Amino acid sequence: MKIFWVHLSAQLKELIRQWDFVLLTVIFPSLFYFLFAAPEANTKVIANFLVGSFAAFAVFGVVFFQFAIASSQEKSNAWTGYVRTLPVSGFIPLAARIVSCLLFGGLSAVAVSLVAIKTSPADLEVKTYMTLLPVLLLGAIPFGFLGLIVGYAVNPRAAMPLANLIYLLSSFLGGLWRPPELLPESFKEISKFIPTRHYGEIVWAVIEKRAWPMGYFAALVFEGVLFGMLAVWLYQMESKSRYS
Amino acid sequence: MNAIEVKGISKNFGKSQVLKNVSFEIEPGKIVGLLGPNGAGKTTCIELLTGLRQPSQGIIKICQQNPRLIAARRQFSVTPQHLQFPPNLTVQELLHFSASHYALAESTWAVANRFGLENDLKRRASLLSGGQKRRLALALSIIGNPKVLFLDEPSTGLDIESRRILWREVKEYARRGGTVLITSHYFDEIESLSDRILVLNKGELIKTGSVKEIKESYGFKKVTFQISDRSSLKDFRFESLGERVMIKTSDPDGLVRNLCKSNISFSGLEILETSLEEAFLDLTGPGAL
Repeated sequence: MKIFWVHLSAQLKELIRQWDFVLLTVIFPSLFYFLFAAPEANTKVIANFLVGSFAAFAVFGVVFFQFAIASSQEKSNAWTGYVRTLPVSGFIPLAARIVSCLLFGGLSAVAVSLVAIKTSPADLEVKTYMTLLPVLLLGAIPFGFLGLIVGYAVNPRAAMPLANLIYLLSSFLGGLWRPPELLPESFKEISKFIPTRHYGEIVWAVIEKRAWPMGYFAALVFEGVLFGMLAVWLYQMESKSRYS
Repeated sequence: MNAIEVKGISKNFGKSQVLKNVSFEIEPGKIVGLLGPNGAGKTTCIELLTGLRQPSQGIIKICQQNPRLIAARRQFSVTPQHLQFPPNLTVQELLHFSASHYALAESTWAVANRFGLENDLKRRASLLSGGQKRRLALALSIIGNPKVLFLDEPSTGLDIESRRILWREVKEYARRGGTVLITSHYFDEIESLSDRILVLNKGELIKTGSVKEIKESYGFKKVTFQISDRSSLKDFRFESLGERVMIKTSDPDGLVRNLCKSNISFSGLEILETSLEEAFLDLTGPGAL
């Protein structure tokens, strides 16, 4: 257990000291809520809906970027090779990555909620928050796999620009910045096929205490399995070329 | 019990065979130099020995265990050729990180002090100079007190002071019973540190022996002297070395007798041993460096 804390502590220190990462994943979503969502959140219902949207945007960013950076660095950085020679199971650094992801993801979602409470009529029950947080974190699993895919499939220099492109397009088309109904007409149809939309629909159902939209839920599970299989395959290809 | 046992290992990458049927053993407490020209398979050999890659054929045992197992990895550590550090962690944090993986690790402060890093503990490792980074890389591999140490080109780019620290620490480590396998481009380093040398060429282990044995295998010594009339040496094959000339011979005593018999007037005669570099070039062929 001690060795897990050593890896987790190293990863958290490394992330916290990367100001661009903290800015992008923790501060930006809260700032975006303050700048773009709060002025339009005139009622409690709209404000709550937007809390869900921006919290989903925040967690999506943390999970997606953490795994994209990790897999990209694995290819370009000899440090990962050094860590593989240490007497520790490969599961420990991965587990530390997942936990640091959950911590950062949770932190960014909490930051959005706090800004929302202070700057808009958002008012969610504690019980709703208790459901929302695990839904946000578990629902983001497909995006962790998507990050791994980007990191493994593309050369390290291209990985970050590509990740940014996917991040921004997915956030916009998935309706995480503006509700899907307010998207331009031509994008409304595309939005239905975007994984962040499927994620958002579940989050909004939790916020509005509706039954889960099973179609979107099934789509997100399918994407999780698909991305997971592709990420594992790319990981094996990468391991084969570097470590076989 | 040998610290390192390698039996008949080969490694193929696609159709190219990088290592061919390599076998050797290293006893505890010995420092062994792995020499070879670029592309000879030295780094692949280290990667196989540290469990990063698997041999296509053959068996590797580090302290009697497969190096891919965690139990074996508790016994050894490695300084890779090009180690980059996480950009935002400090020297102290990295030393603590490595040390945490070993039961008998030394204190961070003691190791930092020995490697001349005591004033840089709070600095980010990525901001260190090239020499400091190499010293830190070596400190990371030594802090856990492993039984076996693999050093892949540890002193490339090091300043004289850093090389001096490296040599001192490697010798001290072996004196305490540690086993070292080191690759290097510096012949003086290999000569100064190694009890034994393995010469690898085109994936094959072509020679093993002590520095003296490797040099003797070359079979020649160098006789140098000053001479005013070089035309008197027309019956000898010689090379000019500025004011001096040099003749390579397997029988220096006989050569000197012949020079005297031929009434050749020379002065400042010296008989020099073959250098490790010359013996290495003789073994691996010209253009190996």
